Amino acid sequence: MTALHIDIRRKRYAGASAAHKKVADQIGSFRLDIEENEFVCIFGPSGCGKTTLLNIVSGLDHQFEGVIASENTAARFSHVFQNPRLLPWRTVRQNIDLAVPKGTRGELVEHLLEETGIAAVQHHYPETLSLGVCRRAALVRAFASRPDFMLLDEPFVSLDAPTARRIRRLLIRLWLENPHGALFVTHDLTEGVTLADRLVFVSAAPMSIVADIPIALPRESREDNEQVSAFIARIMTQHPQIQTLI
Amino acid sequence: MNLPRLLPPLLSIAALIGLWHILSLTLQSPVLPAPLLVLDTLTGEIRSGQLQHHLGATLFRLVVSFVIAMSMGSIIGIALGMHEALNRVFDAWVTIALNVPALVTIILCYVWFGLNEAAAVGAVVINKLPNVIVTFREGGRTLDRDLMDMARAYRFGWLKTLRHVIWPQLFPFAIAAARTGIALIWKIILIVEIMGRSDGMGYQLHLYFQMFNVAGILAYTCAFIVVMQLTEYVLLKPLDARAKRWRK
Repeated sequence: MTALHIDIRRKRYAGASAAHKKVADQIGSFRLDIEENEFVCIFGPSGCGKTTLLNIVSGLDHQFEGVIASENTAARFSHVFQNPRLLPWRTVRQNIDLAVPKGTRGELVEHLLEETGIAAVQHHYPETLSLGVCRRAALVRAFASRPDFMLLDEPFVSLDAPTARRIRRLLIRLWLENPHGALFVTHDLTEGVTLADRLVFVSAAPMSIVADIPIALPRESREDNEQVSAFIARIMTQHPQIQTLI
Repeated sequence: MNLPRLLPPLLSIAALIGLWHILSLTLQSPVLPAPLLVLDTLTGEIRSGQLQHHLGATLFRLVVSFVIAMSMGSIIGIALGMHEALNRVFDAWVTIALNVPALVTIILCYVWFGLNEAAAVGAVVINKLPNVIVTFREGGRTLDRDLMDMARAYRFGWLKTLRHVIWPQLFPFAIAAARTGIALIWKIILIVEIMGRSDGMGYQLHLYFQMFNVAGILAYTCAFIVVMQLTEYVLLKPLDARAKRWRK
């Protein structure tokens, strides 16, 4: 079953002048169907329009030609941005509770806070906490809002490698507990292979799909660096067109 | 409030009153009555109920015009701050309104709407409004787009967005507008009362001016200073502190 159908015919750069229309297409023709509970990773050169794509999917950007359709018209989206985007004048817990739909029991939030190890600082203000903690809080917020679909925009960028690895494992654990569709943007191919069901490689602007590769690697063996590296080497030879993108 | 922190300002006020006392003793003139005489006049005015009546009338006008100017000004200011196209159209209006002398708006309000309470309050509002608009416009311009997007992505709805995302960002601007607002309104309201009202502090001050009663003028001034300091310490300072508690 298709959970989400993305069909963008054209997206221009915001504020592009008429004289530059030809070069000002940020996204060209872009079609992507995401199955229910499928975890899709998007790769591409920086500035190619991945963030714009996520903004279009989550309904923040309506200035495009095309359709975003979902089987479930009341589908809930959650969005993990590149920066945590917590309200600095609300505590971590208040930030999370604000995104939680009415009538949800507090137990899920409690559980997520425990799992992410930030339960102790839940009543602190974000500015007093480290970036890693804030990123985890943003992740908890995204899961606590019980989404049908989650959009993640390089949520682990600018974290040190061990912290990023820990939160990545956490993301997978939480996702396996409560599966839902996910669209994950990253620059890190290893990260993508560790997390996703499918890798989608996109070109520089105007963005379009270069390769769409399912990850035929069981989740258990993804902790094994050698297997992951071997898999990456394999897809590089099978799909030479992606080499220039990485 | 602890004593050591309160002591320096209290001592400095006492020194000021002492200076005033010495000056009035050396001058021996009705132009500068001694502090004790002013206090005497003040208690007399309180006992007769005059002070409460006039101060009450002025404070009532102050509160009404303050509330109207703040609510209208905040809405207009935020709209102008968030929509640059709107601002381009109305920026000239705001600049003109800022530069019209207070006296002109007061005269025009009385001429157009008659010597009544609505015209008095309206004149104060018109004088105050441009300042509120300009302050809130700055606030509207600095609203964090990232957080607004976050609120939209998580379907906060407008009420939740206003309360949790927009208002906390505008709060410092609201406090600034309130502070300058009260000071400005107070100055304008006296002229409004002198020109067209038969009660209030302005009316009473004008009366004492004509009677050359400096003690009366100083007594009303002291009463007013006390009221304004109270609003600062009881209302504005705590609100300010509350708004800043999330900062590092």
